[in-house]
Formats: sequence, structure tokens, C-alpha cells
Amino acid sequence: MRVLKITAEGLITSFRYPHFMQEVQPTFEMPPPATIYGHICSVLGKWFDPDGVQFALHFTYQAKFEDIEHTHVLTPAAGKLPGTNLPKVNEGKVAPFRRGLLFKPKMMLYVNKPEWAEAFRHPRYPVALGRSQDLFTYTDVEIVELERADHAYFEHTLAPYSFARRTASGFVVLMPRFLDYSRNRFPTFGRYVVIHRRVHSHDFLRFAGEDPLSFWVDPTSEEVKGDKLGLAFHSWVGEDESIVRMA
Amino acid sequence: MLEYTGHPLVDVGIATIAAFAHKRDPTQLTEADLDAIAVYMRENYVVDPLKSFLTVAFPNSGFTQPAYNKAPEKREIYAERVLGAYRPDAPKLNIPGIFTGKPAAGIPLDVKGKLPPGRTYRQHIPLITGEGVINFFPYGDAGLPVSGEALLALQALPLGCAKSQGRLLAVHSDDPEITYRFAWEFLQHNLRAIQLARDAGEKKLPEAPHRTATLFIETLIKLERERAQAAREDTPASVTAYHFSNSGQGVDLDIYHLPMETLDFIRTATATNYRETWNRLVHRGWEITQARRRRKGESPVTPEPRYNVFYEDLLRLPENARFFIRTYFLRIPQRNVRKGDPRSGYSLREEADLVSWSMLDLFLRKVMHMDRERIERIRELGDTLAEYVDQENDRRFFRAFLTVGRYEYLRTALIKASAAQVKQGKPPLITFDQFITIFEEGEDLPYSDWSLARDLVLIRMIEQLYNRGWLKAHADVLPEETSEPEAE
Repeated sequence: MRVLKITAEGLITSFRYPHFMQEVQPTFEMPPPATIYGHICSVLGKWFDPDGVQFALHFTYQAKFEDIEHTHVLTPAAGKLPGTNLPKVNEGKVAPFRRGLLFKPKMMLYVNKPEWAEAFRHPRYPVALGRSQDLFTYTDVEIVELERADHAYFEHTLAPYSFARRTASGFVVLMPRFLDYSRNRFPTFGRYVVIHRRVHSHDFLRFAGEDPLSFWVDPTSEEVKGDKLGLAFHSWVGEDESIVRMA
Repeated sequence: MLEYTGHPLVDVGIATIAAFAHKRDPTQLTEADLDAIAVYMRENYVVDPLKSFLTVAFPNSGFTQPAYNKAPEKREIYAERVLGAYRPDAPKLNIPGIFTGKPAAGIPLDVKGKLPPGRTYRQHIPLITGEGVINFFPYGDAGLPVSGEALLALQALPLGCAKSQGRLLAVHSDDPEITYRFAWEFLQHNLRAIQLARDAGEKKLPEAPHRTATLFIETLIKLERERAQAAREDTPASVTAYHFSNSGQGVDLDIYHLPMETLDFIRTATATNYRETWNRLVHRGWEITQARRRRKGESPVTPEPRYNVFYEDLLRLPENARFFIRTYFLRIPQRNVRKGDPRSGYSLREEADLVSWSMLDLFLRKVMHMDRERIERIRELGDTLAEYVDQENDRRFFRAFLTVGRYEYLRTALIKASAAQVKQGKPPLITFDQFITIFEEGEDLPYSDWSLARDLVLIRMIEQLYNRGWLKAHADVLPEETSEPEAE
């Protein structure tokens, strides 16, 4: 499989849990799929049809910490702006919110769209990941021919929920999978496993009667104990093992 | 009737409803089951002690609104609206609720009926924004549309949480059995406490006696023990605790992830083969409290410890594995800790009997995913060095191995001792391959370094020397307080 491999680095980033809004906003330790979709859209300069597009991640950061972020908490308002005849639309106040942040994030993004290489070399909008002020730099954009292998290792990645039963490593999170802009940004969610530490497929739990496993690996990755970096691909739409019953 | 959604707060609420109905599977719940818990909440949420308890979950809701203190009928109206929206005959909107995909409730969820139908805010769902706030919503359309079922689950959530340090502790897992058992445990405790408080005329529910992280792990271990006794199958799962307050006095949220590898370690270590060592490690982890005399003439009372450092440090794994090994398996005391922290009194000299290779071996396999071959090499080296120290009575080598602060000094000590052995016609203490495997190969852990490998070998050495009686005979070779080695 030919894929686009993008290496992106930044100073700070943050991926807010969507339903923790008030005053304290912890961060996911990996970018959610919906964030990756938005990120690619900003590169292309348009919404793209997610059907058939897949991506995989390798994401690291040096430290996780909290900072105070001033949020302008807004509510609709009536009347005029002071000293003018201009209608007031919103009003608000500045409030301190505790925000979880990741320091020195680095992402290797694999997308099964090698034809987008030029777009990543000349992104349409400023390259950001997480908050709009969390600017990133693409340090490498290349096309890689992935290989199929019987063994692989997985590390610093977001894996589909089914991996939880095999890896017995990492923790499970519910993340926004996709925001449907044609339906008022209606969200769908999925369950994923955050895997930070390296786990080799030969240590995976096996179940009786199942077929031998095989994986997509990046042949350009570091070889560890005879294994290459395995890639767990995700989709934004359609049937997926990460899907839960949430809307 | 209900299905788990994956959302932690909604799922804990669903598990609470299921526990209230004594049904493990929420899909087996009937409308009558939902009615039963709704009736309980209608009766109890509008009066103390739950009314005051709910301020940390639903500030300024109809249950807790101080302005309704003299208008109990308004509390009844509010309760009817938020607790009755799941009923089949209740109005529904033609839009899906955010958590379940079922139609959102079709009525305003306030007493005056001024809110947009089906829309929920901070008084309905902890930690989302208040009425009218347009931040964080698509196109500034404030509030979340929620189905009556999800709303009922969210209202039931506090009953399935522990009250800890002024906040609520909700525990969620991708294994529904674990979510259910935590909700069951906390619900049963709360139901008893509510009844006792009402009988005694108390306005508040008592706080959990232990700090949150300790309470979380303590409860987990209790539930895991019951699970093992019931011979239920263990499946890999991670557990996440949410310790939160939605109070108007200050919102707060701490999230504790317990990864699958740590849960697996706890499950195995609390099982029969390891239980004795585990219990002794736990025993030495409790806060040290001093007896206090409250009034003149009264006999002194020793307060119950509030926390267990061993439990709390389990929550910092696997990132903190190196620290964990030194502190709990090598009994290295910690400086600059608060008064009462038992880690300040840990002592290799006094507690050499607590140094256990089998527990460490389990930890290395389960938590650190260390290669079995490397573990075996470490064990072999520990055995060889212990035999060498015992036979040659080489106190100097043992002391150097224990306290060395620089890699090159460790290497030199090993080479010297090995060369001395060879001179006597004996095989070297360590081979080149052994050295490389133990001290040079990493495990892809930032905390994996030579001193970690040294500590692991040392743990095996100490265990063996203790068993051989050498340590007892040479107790002075162990410093009273082993300090952290100098940084390179």
C-alpha cells in the first residue's frame, strides 16, 4: 500500500475532551480522529469526502502539564455597543480555565492518499494541530510503500478498540471520530486504545481457531528485535470496530 | 432498555440504574426498573442529605436551587421534568440525543419552561457550560440535546459515585462488569449512608475516610478479590477514575488512568501466590498517624490513616516504574515527603525480608513488559553475585554495587571482582553477552538505564543473601539510610 507519510512537529498542543467544557479542560494524549480530519482539511483547503480515506498515527510528546487559559465566555446579547448605534451580538467575560497541554508534540501521520503530497508541501491554511494557536511545522513529507508482515511492533499510537483484547496494554478512551458538517457538525464517537509503550505482536494474546495475524508495517522505520513499526489504520465513516452506540 | 454508550459519566449512571434494579445487564432493564429509581430520586433528591450532596454534581438545578427552599412544589416540578423524560409517552424531539442517538427530550428542562426543549446545561450534566454560553457548541447553539434515558442516567450518576474529598468519584472501564461493580459498591454504600443520615437528622453525607486515589485502588482490589472468588474470567481492561466537582464554588476534575498492564499486575499480585508479599507491601504503605488526646482526661486516640502510598503510586505506573521499584521492592526511603508518609522510614536494613524477586519478576513482566530472556539473565547474575559475595565474603564489592553512582564505577567493580575470580581459576562473574543484555539493552522506556538494571540485579542479590543468612551476619554492610545515588 502506497501512503503519504508526514512528519509534523510543534511546541505545544492540546486535544480537549469534548464534554468537559467548564473551567477545567484535560487533554487527550493522542489527537482524536476528528482532529486529524480537520487538520487534513486545512491542508487541502476544503472538506474532503472521508469515504475510503484511512490514516494511522505515531504521536509522541515530551511532557504533559496544565496551564491557565483565559477563555472569553460568551453569551448572546441585545442592545447597542456603548457609544454607537451598532447592535450588540454577544457579550462575555474572561474566565480562567485550566487546560491540559502536551509539550513538544511530534506526529507521524500516514494517509492512504499519496496524491496529496503536494498539498502537504504547500498547505492551504496555517499548519495547526489542536488549538488554532498550536502551530506545527511539517519537517518531512514523503511517499512510502508499506509492507505486509506477520510481525510488527506498535508504539505511541492510537489503535482500534479491538487491539485492547490483544495488546493488554494501554488504556481505552472515547474520542470524537467525525463531525458531520453537513448535519450541523453532528458528532460520532469511537473507542480507541492509547498505546504509548512498545508492544510486539508476538506478545499479543491469541485466541483459539483464529487465523494468523498480519500487519501493515513501515519499512523505513527502526527495526526492533526483527520487527518494523506496525500501523493501525482508522477510518472516519462506515463500519469500524471502534464504533460505540453513542450518536 | 438501556445500553452502555462509552461516555464515562453516562455509563456510570446507567450502571447505577442497573445496580439499583439488581440487573447486571442494562439491556435487561424494564420501564418499571427505570420508574423505580426515578421514584427514589424524586423522593430523595429534593431533601437532605442528598439535596446538599447534589450541589457538587448539579449546582443551581431545581434540586439544589436555594430559591426553591421555600417552594418545594417547584422542586417537584423540576424532578418530574428531568426524571420523567425517558417515559414512552413523554414528548420527544425529531433530533437525536448526543449520547444515545435516541430522540432528544421534547420538553424544557427547567421549572419555568423557558429553556429550549431537550437542551441540557451545567445544572443537568456535570462539567458542561451554563445556560446561554455559546462557547464549545456547533455554531454557538448552546446546550446539548439529550434523550430522556441519558438524562435519567446522568441524574442517577451521583448515586453510583463515592463522595471523596468534597468531590464525586466515578469509575469507568471498557469492561462493563467493572463499571457495574464500582457503581454497585458505591450505590450500596450511599443508600446505607443516606438512610443513616436521615435517621440521625444529618444534613450531609459522610466523606469517604480515605483519600481519593487510595479509595479508588482499595475499592478496585476489593472488587477484584470478589471477582476472583466468584471465578469470573479476567479480560484485559483498563479502568479510569474521574474525580470531579461541578460546584459553583469551583469546578475541578482529575482523571486517573489505570492501564491494562497495571490492572493485570494488580489482579495477579493479589492472587494466592503473591498475596502474602503484596499484603506486607500494602501494610507498610499506610500513612503513619500519631495518637492524639482530644480532651484532658480522655485516653489518646489514633486516627485512621487517610492514604496508602503504595496504592497511590500504582496510579503513576508505568511511567514511574523505576521510582516504584526502588521505593517498594528495594525499600529506598524517600526524602522531602510530608510528615506521616511511611516512605521516609523505609529501610533496606530493617526490611530486607520484604525484598522479593518473585514480586519483582511479576512487575517486570506485567508492567514493564520486559523481555523474559533479559529477566532471566538478571536473575542469573543476581544469583552469581550473591554466591560470590557469600563465599568470598566480599563486603566491599557488595557495598560498591549497592551505592555506586556512576556507570563506569559499576563496570570497574564488576570487572575487578570477575578478574579476581578468574585468577583463582573460577569462571568470570559476568560474560560479555550477559553484560550487554543486562546493562546496555534498553526496553524503550525513558526510565530504563544502567541504574535500573543495577537495582534489579541488586534485588535478586539481596533476596539471596538474606536467604543465605549472610545479610543477617553482616547487617552493618547495609546503610541505615540508603540515599539516592549521585546523578551522573
